Amino acid sequence: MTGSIWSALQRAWRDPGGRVGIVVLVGLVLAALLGPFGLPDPLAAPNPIAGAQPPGPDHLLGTDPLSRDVFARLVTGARISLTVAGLAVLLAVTIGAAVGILAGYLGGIVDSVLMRLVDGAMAIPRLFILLLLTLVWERIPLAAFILVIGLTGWFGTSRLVRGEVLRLRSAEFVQAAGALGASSARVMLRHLFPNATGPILVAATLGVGEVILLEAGLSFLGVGVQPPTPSWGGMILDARSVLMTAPWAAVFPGLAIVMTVLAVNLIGDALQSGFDPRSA
Amino acid sequence: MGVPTPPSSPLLTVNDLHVVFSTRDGDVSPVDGVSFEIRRGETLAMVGESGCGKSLTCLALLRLIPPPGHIPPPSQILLDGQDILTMAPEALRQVRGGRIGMIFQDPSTSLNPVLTVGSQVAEAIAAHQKASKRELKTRVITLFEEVGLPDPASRYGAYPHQLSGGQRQRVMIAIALAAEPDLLLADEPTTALDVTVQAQILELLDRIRRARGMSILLITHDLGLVAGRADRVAVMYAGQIVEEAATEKLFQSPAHPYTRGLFASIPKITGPKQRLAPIPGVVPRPSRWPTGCRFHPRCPDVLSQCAATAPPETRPAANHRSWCWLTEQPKAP
Amino acid sequence: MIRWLLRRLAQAVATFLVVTLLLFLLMRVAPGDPLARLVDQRRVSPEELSLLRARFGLDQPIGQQLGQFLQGVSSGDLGVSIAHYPDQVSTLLWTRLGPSVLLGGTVLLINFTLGVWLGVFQAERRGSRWDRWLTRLSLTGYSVPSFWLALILVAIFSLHWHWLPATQMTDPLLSGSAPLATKAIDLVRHLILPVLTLSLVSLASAMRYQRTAMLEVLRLDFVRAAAARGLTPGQVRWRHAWRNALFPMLTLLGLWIPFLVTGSVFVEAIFNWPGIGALAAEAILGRDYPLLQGTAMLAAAVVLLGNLLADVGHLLLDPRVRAT
Repeated sequence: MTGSIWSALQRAWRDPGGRVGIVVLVGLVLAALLGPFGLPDPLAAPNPIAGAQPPGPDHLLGTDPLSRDVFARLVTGARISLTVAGLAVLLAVTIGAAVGILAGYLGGIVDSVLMRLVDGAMAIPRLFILLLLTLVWERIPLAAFILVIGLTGWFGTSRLVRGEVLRLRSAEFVQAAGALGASSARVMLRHLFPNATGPILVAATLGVGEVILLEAGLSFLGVGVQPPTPSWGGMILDARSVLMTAPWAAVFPGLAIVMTVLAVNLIGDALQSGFDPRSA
Repeated sequence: MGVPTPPSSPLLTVNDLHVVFSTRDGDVSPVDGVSFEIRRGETLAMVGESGCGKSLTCLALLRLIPPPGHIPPPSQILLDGQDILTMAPEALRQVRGGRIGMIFQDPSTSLNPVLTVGSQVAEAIAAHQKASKRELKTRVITLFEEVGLPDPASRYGAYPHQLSGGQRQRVMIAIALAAEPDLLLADEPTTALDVTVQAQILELLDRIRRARGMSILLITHDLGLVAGRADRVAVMYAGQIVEEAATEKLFQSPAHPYTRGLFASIPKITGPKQRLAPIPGVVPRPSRWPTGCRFHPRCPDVLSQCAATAPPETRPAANHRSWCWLTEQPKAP
Repeated sequence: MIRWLLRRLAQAVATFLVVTLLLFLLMRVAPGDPLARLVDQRRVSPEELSLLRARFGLDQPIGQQLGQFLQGVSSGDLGVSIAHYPDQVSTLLWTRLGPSVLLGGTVLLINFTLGVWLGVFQAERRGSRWDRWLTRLSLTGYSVPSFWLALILVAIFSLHWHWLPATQMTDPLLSGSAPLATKAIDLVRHLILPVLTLSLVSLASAMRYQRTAMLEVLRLDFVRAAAARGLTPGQVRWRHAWRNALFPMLTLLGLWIPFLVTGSVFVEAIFNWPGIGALAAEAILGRDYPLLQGTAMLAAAVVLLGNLLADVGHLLLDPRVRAT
């Protein structure tokens, strides 16, 4: 499976858009990891009375209304955004793959029940499920937030994987493996999973973009990442009141979101056309 | 057929036709300098294995080459002396379906699945002639009768998926005939059909040609279909015409080794069962065409100069052209 | 065909039952009960609390609660709002429906005219500079958070240049007796920014969907055959090619119909647009669980309705489906 991920990445790298996406994303991850060294404390408000200050030598991208360094908060926000998106999508894909394999391989009543539940869950717009879930907490802890996003993101993947399993189950080589006496679990893991990697990878990549937007949106509504932890959506919320006097405080976090999501979507696009040349 | 046609100005003259596809790895020309003519009222068959460029030649006549393909100068396609390649869009549109009709290999994919067959014939008429809705419908039904579609009136509102393969090809023929063209291009019109239906469709085409005094360009990979149906045959190989002659002459004394190879691979219905002798190998891809005579790597009679220099046009007999070093000097009897 | 339709309808109803069940369970996963959080915030006396409990049916066993919930939903009763107590959730939703349909409808109209046209334009020029730039542009639009774009547009066009109003659907100072034309212009001026925001972020999917669908069709034989019979490029493009590239768009339209009703929570909230999306945003601030739940239920119902409509459209437009 790692092999097919690697070759998929190579394919994405060959696409010019995908290459830009990969470079930007790697840059963001590095910034998120190394950012805290040598940057002002993203939580420190050195001069609260001064309010938002424009970009300058002291503060590269200015400060927010609480005089906190925008660049430092952006970098920490990147870490939060990428962590939330990465973990949530990992969780979603794992659950989705597990449910899909289970439904597809076992079939019968298990399949019917699981898929009817998925049908129902997919009919409710994800934002609403998330809003209902996040409202359970007065101030939602970050771990719970990640959990909630992951738990609402697997429905599509499970359908996809189930379809793939059903398709592959009838394929000759799986039947051949079964005839050779391989156990069902072995068959599933060794044959089905590597073959379903492609579509899962595309769904996961596009899922990361979606989750970054969702996280930003929920944080903007105040039900996502809770202050004072910096998040891009939260930064835009904070800057809303000073939109005209300190536009930098709202513009830069938005650009960070666009850049990140665009990078992820470019990679997803490149992966997709790699798997299905006709859609390019 | 058989009776020599009096020389008259040809309906269509193709001069040095090239079709070029520009790819990342450079240009390739799957049609590479093809010249021929079609006379009024005659059937010209163009024969060759798949990949030889015969279908592209056919599409090029109506400028239907899909991008990134294009037809560079000095190619010329003269219809009554007018070059189709330099025509303005509206004039070209009038030629398409108007003066030149076309039928395709697979009638099940050549009809729009979501429109009724009647409306698809009607639009072909309306594209070239003014007619009221009522008139259109009557004319469509008449055409359906002409192409032998059973129960023509009720077929008007049928969708393609409700018809059989043979019936669909009859509809395609009706579309091609809709605006009374002078020339019908038939690109492998029977390849996708049952053997029994094949003969019927070819029979139909021949009958219509005679009734209407139309010309036909019949593209096929099957020399067996040509006998008794075409007046002349042009044999294509690797983007070029390698031999051209009146049908009888070609069948009696094929000059080019490739043509002889094609004859050897026709299954014979009569006579004792014999092994087919297909020509060994396949048509090379346009990007790796051999130097000299393009057939030389597969040729059983290859000479020393074949790999180095392309053979000139030779005339083994009147109305017989061949491009082969063997025929350059008529062999001693 | 009728039987097929009835079966699809039954499926939709069954799925809606699952939705109801899921939403009911979602409310139950909350630690304590939904009113506990209300009590935290508003200091309700114990007597009032038990009254409220009885009012919301929370003092009954869970099976019975589910029964009542289902009964309520089936008769259109979605419970009572907390933030707008004692208004019915269904009444609130109903009064906010109009503005959402207006906003969502305008956006859908743009997506399905301009988006379709651009997608077809791109597909016909596949790989050209136009195609590449439009693809990049649409991918960018796709990556922009709507709430941020809304704020930026407000900052530029309302706060800086004062060209367009930033909030509401109508000018509150406009007298009710103003001429119809004035009112219409006022409404359009209020519509521009929210519509622009939503179109910019959603046009991309319409374009990409249409481009892919059209590319699939353009390589089919019958498109070439249509050109070969002398049809005009317009006839080939729309009557033949697009007519077959329409079906994926129908599916997309089905997916977007809910948008008509729920609008966008973010954009309606920022523009103070008096629609259902803004209502949902208010519900979040007011921790109004029943209202949010009712909105989700309505959204789900419309999602299923959209799917159903897409299927019916497919049935009407594709003779091959009709035959099966």
